[in-house]
This record gives sequence, structure tokens and C-alpha cells, in this order.
Amino acid sequence: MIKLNLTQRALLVAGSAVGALANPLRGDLVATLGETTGTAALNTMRDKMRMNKTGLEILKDRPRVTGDTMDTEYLSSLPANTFGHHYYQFMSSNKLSAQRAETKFVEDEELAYVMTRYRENHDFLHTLTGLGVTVPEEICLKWYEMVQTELPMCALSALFGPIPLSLAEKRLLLSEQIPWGLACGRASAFFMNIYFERELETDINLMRKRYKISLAPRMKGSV
Amino acid sequence: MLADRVDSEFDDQQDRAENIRRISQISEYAMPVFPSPLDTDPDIWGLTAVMTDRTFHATPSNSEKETHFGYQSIPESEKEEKVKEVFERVADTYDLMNDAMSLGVHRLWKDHFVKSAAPKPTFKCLDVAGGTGDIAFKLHKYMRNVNRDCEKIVVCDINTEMLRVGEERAAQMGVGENFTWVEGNAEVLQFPDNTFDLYTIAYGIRNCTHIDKVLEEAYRVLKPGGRFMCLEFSEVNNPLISQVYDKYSHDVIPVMGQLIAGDFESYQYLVESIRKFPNQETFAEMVAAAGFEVVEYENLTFGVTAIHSGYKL
Ligand SMILES: C[S@@+](CC[C@H](N)C(=O)[O-])C[C@H]1O[C@@H](n2cnc3c(N)ncnc32)[C@H](O)[C@@H]1O
Repeated sequence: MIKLNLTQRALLVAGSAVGALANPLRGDLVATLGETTGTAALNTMRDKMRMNKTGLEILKDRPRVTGDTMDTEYLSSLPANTFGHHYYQFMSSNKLSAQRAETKFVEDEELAYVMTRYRENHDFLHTLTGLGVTVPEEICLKWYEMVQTELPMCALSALFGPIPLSLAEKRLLLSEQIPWGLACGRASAFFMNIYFERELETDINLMRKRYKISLAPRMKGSV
Repeated sequence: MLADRVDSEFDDQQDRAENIRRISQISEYAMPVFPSPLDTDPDIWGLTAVMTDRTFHATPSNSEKETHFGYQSIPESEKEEKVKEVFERVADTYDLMNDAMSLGVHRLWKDHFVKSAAPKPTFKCLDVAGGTGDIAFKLHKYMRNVNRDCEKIVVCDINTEMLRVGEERAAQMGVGENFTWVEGNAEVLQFPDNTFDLYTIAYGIRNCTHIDKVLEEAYRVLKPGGRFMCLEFSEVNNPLISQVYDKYSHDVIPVMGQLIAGDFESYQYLVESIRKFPNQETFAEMVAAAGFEVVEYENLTFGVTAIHSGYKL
């Protein structure tokens, strides 16, 4: 964890904002911007977790999702209808790694964990919502995450992310994906309070029902 | 040195760390923790990276496994190519960081350094802590301008990966045969006594644990009449500028490190190490203590950087 003084923080926010907008491929800048601007939202997220039994447990256990904590052999052996199996399918078919950026610039230790957990939940959300990893789908998920977490960074990605998309993609985003993100974000349970690691053997549709997460609209190009 | 610090961050990420560790050893400057389009699966980049932090999923594919999840591995043949690309990128980041931190002035400092050294084409030159060859290339250019067939320059660095980048660059510029790249520690050089006419060390001595040993070794390998020259950050002598410089180096440089190289701590460490290094006078005394004569120093940009010089007589 890095302690920043005011000048450093201001420079880092400004620099990562300009950098992320100029070069959206620099995911590290996006992450840095998210951390340096997230304190208020992270506080709210933590409070919501503290008020929920499972959320509180997560805060206490601080489970991590890394390549080491996720046993691929076990996941692949799960029955096809389970959440864990779907997660395995999603990760392997997209060749993704469970490794995410370390949280560096959130000073409060618990809030830093909340940020980490938020990042590490991302692929679980992909799995539950059925969203793939194309740009429109990532943006769609960002809208969902924005409603749920109120993180400024989600809003920035949600708003600026679509800029490079084609007109057809934008139209689809506006007519279907964003409305889904907003609606599902409001309707579903707070995803930070889902102990995903304990749901690996749960039937995925049962989980969707329980947490009121609907499948996102199918998109062109998605599997 | 710094590589250890960077490493500890990745303690729990062994597989991925294997690759990162190698990159991190390259220099205190360049430790891009963000995967680049070069070292990740292009598909992952093209499709998913836009305005999300998705890019962190991708692990550099020149590690043993392509992904940390261990779903795939890449063939050996591709691996070498990718490793090369990563090093090129690191070298680019390194250059970019040097430019950003010094606002481009480091090039002028190095040019001035080499001009002051004024190597004759017949000189046997040794550039210690030569890294990716910046100083060596400039020395060669200077010597070649005087006479086309000049002596080979020996570049020595403790880090082979840095040297590999240098070698690669030399080859690209078509001057590969003019340099010898040697892995070695400045504190215990493997060269015989009285070998070189010129010993240069640029922004390297600060990183060495025992400065006195480095100086002793420099004295040993130089021929009588040979010259020791060192380019290193130093103490700003103007109180007003010193204030601005302190603020700048403390607040701006680590932030730039984060933004450009994805690494805050290394650059924070860099700034600290600059502050800890002996000032002009003290370092001049150390050079003299090692046996050098006619020791003098020149301040560049108010002493942000200084050139120290001494002769073995
Ligand atoms: C900041 S770089 C300078 C590189 C180059 N001279 C330049 O000016 O661009 C410092 C270099 O010192 C090298 N180095 C650190 N400790 C060393 C040692 N004990 N012996 C030799 N080289 C060392 C590092 O590997 C690194 O390449």
C-alpha cells in the first residue's frame, strides 16, 4: 500500500485520467484512476457489506481470487449445471487469468480489500450474466457495476468506453445492453455480498434466481 | 538491489512472477507491471481492454504458462520472440522514463559527459554499469567521427538482460561488432590491471553497495595516464532551485513512474537513493582517496547531475 500526499494524489488522478482517455488500452491507468477516485464509493460499499451477514463474513475472511486459490482441476470436474463449471468454461474459453491488479493507492486497509474484492468479482459477474469479453459486453457489465457500486471509474468506463464502437454497436448498446445493465443493477442483490467461492457447486440458474441476476441480452459476436 | 523489492510484491504470484522478475531486474527504472500489447494475447487486448481494467487478466505470455490459470502454454519458438519483444519494450519504457523525469535533459548531460571524456579512437574504453549502452554508443560515435577504425568498447553491467537489450540495439544500428558486452560487478571487475584508457560510469555508481570498492577497481583496471569519469545525480547548490527540485522529485517522479512504467515504489526508491548519495565535495574526496589525481567535478543543471573526473598517474 502506498501513502500519497495531496500533490501526488492530485497528479496521479489527473495523469491517469488524461492517460486513460488518451489510451484506453492502458488498463493499469484505468485501475489507478479507479483507486484514486474511489474512496467515497468504497466507503458506501463497505457499509453495505457490513450490514449484510454474508458481506460481513467476506470482510472478515477476506477471500482472494487468484490463480492459486482457484483450483482448475476441481472446477473442471464440477457438473455442467454448476456455477463453478460455468466459471471454468468462461475463464478457459477466453483464456483469462484470475490474476488482477494489486490495489496500491487505497490507503485504508479494509477499503483496499473492498477494491480488490470488487475487481476479483468481475469474472464471477461475467459468468452469472452470461456476458463475454467483447468491448460492448464489457461496457454493458460496467453499467451494471456502476449502478451497483457507484464507483466513479465505472461511470467513466460506462460513458467513454462506447466512443470507439461502431454505430450499430452503439445502437445495440443504447437499445438493449444499457437498459439491461441499469435494470439488473437495480434489481439484483448487491454482488459484493455474494460469497462466490461457496457457490461453486450451486446450480447456476438457481443462483441467478436467488440473487435476481438476469441473463444479459445476447449480443452479436458473443458466444 | 531494487529487483528484490519489486519481487516481493509478486511473492504470491510465482508463475507470473517468473517473467516479471526477469524484467524487473533490468533496471530500477523500468518495471512495467502492466502487460503491453506485445506481451499479452493479442485477442485479449483487442477485444476487452477498452476502458476496463480487464488487461490485468492477461499475464505476459513468455512466462511458462500463458495464463495464470494454466489453461494454455505457448511453444518454445514463439517464446524467444516474445521475450525479445518484452525487452525492447522495457528498453523503450526505460528511455521514455528517463526523458520524462529529466524533461529530456539527460540526453544533453550524457552528450556533454562524452564530449568531456573526449576519447581518442585508439582508446580502450570501459563503460561500467553500461546498461543498454547509451554511453557506449555515444563514445563510439565520438571516436568514429575522428577515425573510422576505432577500438572496440567494452560494456560491463551486472544485469545480463540490460546488456542483451544493448546488444540488440547495437545490431539494429549495424554497429554490433564495435562493442563487447560483459556481465560483471563494478566492485569486482574481471579485467586485468592497467587495461583501459578511459573508465566511464553513468548513473550506475549510486546503485553499488560499496562505492569505495568500485573506485578501487576503476583505479586498478585503468592504465597509468588513464582517466576515470563518473556521471551521477548530485546535490543542487542553489537554495531556491533546490526547493523546487526537491518538491518535483518527491511528488512528480514517483507519479510519473506509476503512470509510465506502472511502478511507483521503484521511482520513490530512485529519488531516495539520489538523496542519499554523497554530494559533490564528499564524492570528490572519495575519488581522490582511491588514488586518483587531478580530481575535479563539474555541475550540470545546478548540480542536479555532476561529472567527476580523475586521472591515474
Ligand atoms: C540507471 S542504469 C544506467 C545505465 C546507463 N549507464 C545509462 O546511463 O543509461 C544503472 C545500471 O547499473 C547497473 N548496476 C547496478 N549495480 C551494478 C554493479 N554492482 N555492477 C555493475 N553494474 C551495476 C544496473 O544493472 C543498471 O543497468
